Amino acid sequence: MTTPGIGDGAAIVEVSGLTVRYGRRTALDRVALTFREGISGLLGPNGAGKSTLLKTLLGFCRPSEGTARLLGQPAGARSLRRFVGYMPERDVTSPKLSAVSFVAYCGCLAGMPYRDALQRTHEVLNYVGFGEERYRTMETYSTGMRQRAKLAQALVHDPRLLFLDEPTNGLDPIGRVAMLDLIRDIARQRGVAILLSSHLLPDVEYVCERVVLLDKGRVVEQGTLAALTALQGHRVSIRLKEGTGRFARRLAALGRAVEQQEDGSLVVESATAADRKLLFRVAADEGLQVRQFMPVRHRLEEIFYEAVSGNS
Amino acid sequence: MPIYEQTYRRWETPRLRGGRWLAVAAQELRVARTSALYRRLLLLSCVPFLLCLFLLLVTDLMTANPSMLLRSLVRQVQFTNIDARFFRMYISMATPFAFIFCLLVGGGSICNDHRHNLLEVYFAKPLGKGEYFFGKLAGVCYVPLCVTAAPALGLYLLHMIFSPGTALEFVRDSYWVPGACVALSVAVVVPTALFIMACSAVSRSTGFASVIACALLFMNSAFGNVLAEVLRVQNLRCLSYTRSLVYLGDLLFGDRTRITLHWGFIIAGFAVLSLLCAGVVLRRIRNVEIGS
Repeated sequence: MTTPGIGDGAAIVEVSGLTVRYGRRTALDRVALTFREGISGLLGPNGAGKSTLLKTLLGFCRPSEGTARLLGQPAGARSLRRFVGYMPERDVTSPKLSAVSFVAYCGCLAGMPYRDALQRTHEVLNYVGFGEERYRTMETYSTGMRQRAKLAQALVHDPRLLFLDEPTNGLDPIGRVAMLDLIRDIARQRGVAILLSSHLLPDVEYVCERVVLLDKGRVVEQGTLAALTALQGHRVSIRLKEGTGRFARRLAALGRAVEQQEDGSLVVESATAADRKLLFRVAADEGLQVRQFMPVRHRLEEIFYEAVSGNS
Repeated sequence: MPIYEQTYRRWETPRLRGGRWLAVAAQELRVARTSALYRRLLLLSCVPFLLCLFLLLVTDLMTANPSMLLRSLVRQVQFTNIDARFFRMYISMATPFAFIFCLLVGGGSICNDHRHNLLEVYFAKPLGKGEYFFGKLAGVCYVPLCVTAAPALGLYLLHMIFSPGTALEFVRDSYWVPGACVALSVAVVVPTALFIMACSAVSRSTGFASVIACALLFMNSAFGNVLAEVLRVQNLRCLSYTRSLVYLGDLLFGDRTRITLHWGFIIAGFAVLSLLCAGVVLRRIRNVEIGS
């Protein structure tokens, strides 16, 4: 079986000038972006258009303008869906059936013969952490179990591309980390490309290599996580054992811009190597012990708020 | 693969190109089977068949018995004559069960998938709306047809087996009966199933869909009959869906009827109703899947 557009470094998702309207409301406004292999994150506040973008790529929404290509083919083509897994944001359950029946049925819909689907279902349910509870009816499942069943149905037909819409919705902290670890494993160990949509910054920061920030249907920022959170070369963070106030006053007297952080550290403007030496000399003069000295990076949270406030 | 191996594996087996509608139909039946009421009703629906089988066996065995007294006794009981009317009687007895099965399975067929957000998941797989629709229809129609057409055909065959002496004569006189049984069963089950699926498509729960379906059928029946009485035109009774089915049965089995309407109008009426209901269901599905 050959999978279009995978493994040759080609773009997995290509969107250009994509506009989607619901009546008079514009959900996506001339969106242009490209995703390659690995885990990519769609980040944005509620109503930013993340789910609409995923649904358009699946063919559930018809674009008003622009084009979208998935694995090198026009998005929405039914033949393409055998290579795509989708875990929707909304709660999905088949109350009177067990997870085994539900996931096996989804396998059959993807074109697997029933026996194969059943065998694969057990493998996938093992993988997402289901035990004997797989035989209970789904109406008795907790939110975490329902989320894992949703992930299992998206994986049952062994997709090459996985769309995950808010996969950690309603999960407790332990369940959240477990889900994110699973997602990371699927992408890194098994070579499945993942497009994860979330409004939770820590989730995206935890698993994604590349991020697209959406707000009000527009792309406001995009790039690799490493590039977006690049070093701010001229600022350093200093943490002292004690005497932070004294140190800050001494630097201010020397004409340095100093910011006291909530966690007790100081952020100091320091453009050159000589400036940095000066910081250590001041600490030595005051008899203070430097516990931490590191360049400041942009945080995703800052980038997000900056981009969203800039857009509004 | 060792039993402790629980990591994610690739799956490279070939996929089926078609036949997804069969998976949808099988799942529909699987879901229906979880209802205790459905299982009990399945047992209860055997009663008309068993009753007719008993009458058929008694008639056949008694007829074969050389005792003239017993034979003449059996001939006195009108419905134990195994002819077209006997099979029509069976289908009439099985029709309420077929309707209830349509209601039980079809009532939740579309609305439950909507309510539990399953359509998004299903259509994210390579499943077409046509496959989904025909799968659902097949799932809803399967048991009602098994309750009406299949036993009628079985009774026909059993009668030929148990009365070998008159089998040829029986087939010559009633060769059209199996076709009539199937045609009437299809006319009863398919439009009813589509109608109930349409009710399910426009409602949020199985109960609500069933109430809508029953209420509409009752109103339709009342409307047709009242109009026929007021205007004193018997043919207007065919505006009632249930009355149309009875009339179609009369035509198919050669019974006398007071209605003189051409059978083409009845068939056209059923076709329009079916197309309308199919349109409602497909429109509801189309809201989810609009891809090529």
